[in-house]
Amino acid sequence: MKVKVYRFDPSKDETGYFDEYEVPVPKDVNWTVMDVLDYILLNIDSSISYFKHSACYHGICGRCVLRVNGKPKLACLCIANEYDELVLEPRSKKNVVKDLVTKVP
Amino acid sequence: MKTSGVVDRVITTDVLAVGGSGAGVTAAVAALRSNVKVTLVSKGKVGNSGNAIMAGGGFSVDGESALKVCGMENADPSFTQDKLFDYIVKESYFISDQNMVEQYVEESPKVVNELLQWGKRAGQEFLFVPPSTWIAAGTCWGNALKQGIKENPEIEVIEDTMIIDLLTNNGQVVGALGLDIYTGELIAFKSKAVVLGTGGFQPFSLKNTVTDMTGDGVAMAFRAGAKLADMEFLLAFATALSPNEMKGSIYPFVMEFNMRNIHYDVRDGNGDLIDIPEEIIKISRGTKLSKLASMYYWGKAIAEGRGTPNGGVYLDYSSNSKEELERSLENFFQRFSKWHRYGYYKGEDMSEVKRMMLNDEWIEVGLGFEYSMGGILVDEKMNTGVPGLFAAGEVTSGVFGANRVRDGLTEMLAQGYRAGLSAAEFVKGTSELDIDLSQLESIVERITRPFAAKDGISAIKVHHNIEKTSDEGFGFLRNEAGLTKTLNELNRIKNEELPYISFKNKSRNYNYEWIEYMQVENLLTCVEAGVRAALMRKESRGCHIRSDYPEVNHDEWILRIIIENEDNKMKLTTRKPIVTKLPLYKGKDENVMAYFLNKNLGYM
Repeated sequence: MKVKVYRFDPSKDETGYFDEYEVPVPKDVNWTVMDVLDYILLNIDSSISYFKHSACYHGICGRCVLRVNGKPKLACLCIANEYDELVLEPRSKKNVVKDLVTKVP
Repeated sequence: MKTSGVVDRVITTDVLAVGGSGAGVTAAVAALRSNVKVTLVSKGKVGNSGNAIMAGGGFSVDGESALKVCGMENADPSFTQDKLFDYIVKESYFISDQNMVEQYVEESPKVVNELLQWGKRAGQEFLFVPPSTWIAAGTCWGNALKQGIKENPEIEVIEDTMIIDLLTNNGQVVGALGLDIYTGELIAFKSKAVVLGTGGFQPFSLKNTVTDMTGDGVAMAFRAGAKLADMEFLLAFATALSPNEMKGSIYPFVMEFNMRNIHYDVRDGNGDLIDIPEEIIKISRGTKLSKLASMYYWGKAIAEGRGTPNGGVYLDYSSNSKEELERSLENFFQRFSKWHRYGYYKGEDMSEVKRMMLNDEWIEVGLGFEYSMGGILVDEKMNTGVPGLFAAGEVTSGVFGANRVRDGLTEMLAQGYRAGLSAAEFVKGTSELDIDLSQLESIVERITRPFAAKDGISAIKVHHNIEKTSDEGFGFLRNEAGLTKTLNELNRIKNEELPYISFKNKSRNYNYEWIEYMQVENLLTCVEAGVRAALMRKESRGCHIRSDYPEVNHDEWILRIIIENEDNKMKLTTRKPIVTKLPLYKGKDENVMAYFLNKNLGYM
């Protein structure tokens, strides 16, 4: 599956851009968007930032919000298999800490 | 103090409480009530981090206190403090220090009651079930703790900040170094005492904890000179492998706990029944002893190569009538709709699980790790032995010895409150010591080294490698060869990977490679201690189950394994648990489950 991840590091980048990854989401087994991001982090690109500290992975803490193809979702609950390709962006582009991580007050 | 250029900020306080869950919050509140300045720092958000939010069951005290202290009129006072004490010591396989168990039994009711009051004022529903248990969702504990902090606004709260290391001067703890995860700023906390309430460690791939359980507090206390104990004992239980998107959910256990009329058979990867004696099912199903029973019986089948494709077993509910299943699921969803959306467990939709059960499809579950019994060795006042350092909750070697059946949630509250009182008392009797600048500089140098390194290994990969070798040799069924292989692999990771970690991401703001670098260092310390203790303990006991030494040998092994840092090597010694009431047990049992059936124990 083609996965586009928004990249923006305010400490060095002028503007945001997208990196594209090919992720082997299986046909018969569901992966969450968090599974997809974890796969990229471990196997393709260890530099991507998404909410991963203090994360519950089961829709409890509610902190891994991001936009999946434009719509706000929890990465740990959103099923990647329901899409043909993924465009992952931060919840809001106004207060990006890095990539998909936004500062939540 | 001249820290410019070394850290970005300095925060000065009397008591630094570390951890955003029950131990940290109750320590902070208790210290504040003793009239000292308190700062609470949490790796995540206070009340929304740590493992309390992952809890599925409940917590309890003795029946008498549930009635008299907590005012539950239908509590059963015949479940006395003495009975609770007796259960905990026996469930611990006599490894608990009994002075610690007394502290838990005697001091928990008051703090539990306060937590319940905070919960009430925060609109959280705790459902009382006689004799003395409250059932709720994990977030109820979190929201109650948030209320506790809200009602004590003098506590300075700093969130999303990871404590990296303790600062010492002449062997006394004088503060800690922290990282603001979002900004990447380094903060020196200068304090007269520190309370660690940072939770346990989980080195395995299948777990049902939050992502923070890398033993940060355990490892930094060890580096500061504290002793560790019981590191070989880790608790696992029925955890979802299917549907895959719910992997790690504890719904299989929570369903058993809340649908006690429903029967299930356990099948191996070939579909053959895993034989579990009827008397074991009788004493364990629907109770928390079921966790150990599944570790033993399922673990054996999985380790013998009879596991499912994902290394678990199948639960088969087909012997129940469809009407019975539907009715029980309906009751389950009704009960949990107090806390979650109807038909959901926590944030997850249970409709696929329901469909599988009603269609007689087997549900694949594994043994997911939940709780580490081991940790920092403390006494009943939560002293660690290092001046100025106190610890509470799962980060300690606690009250549960070789096996936890009672409540980690009760433990964190009882110990946290006591640790806060002890820390405040220490503060009043100590003079202020400065931060040792050369130590601070050397820590900063160590943790920032990978920013300049090139072409090294990713810390994410190193974490994965630790999990892989922990799964292989340190999991639910162990033996000499497997443990030795894992120890060798851990040594290889320590010598050939850890010093060569580099970051692809070079900026400090939300850099998970950086967080992982510090986490894997901590996790490595914890799992090495655990594996060394597991190799030393040549018997089975509680959650330490060995295929080459299946017998539980009370005559020789009712001993705690204590680990200390000697010239950067782990030195292991043993000592007998502290006895206050119940004489240490004698004899031998054929295996860890036969122990509970033995009439001499008088557990039943």
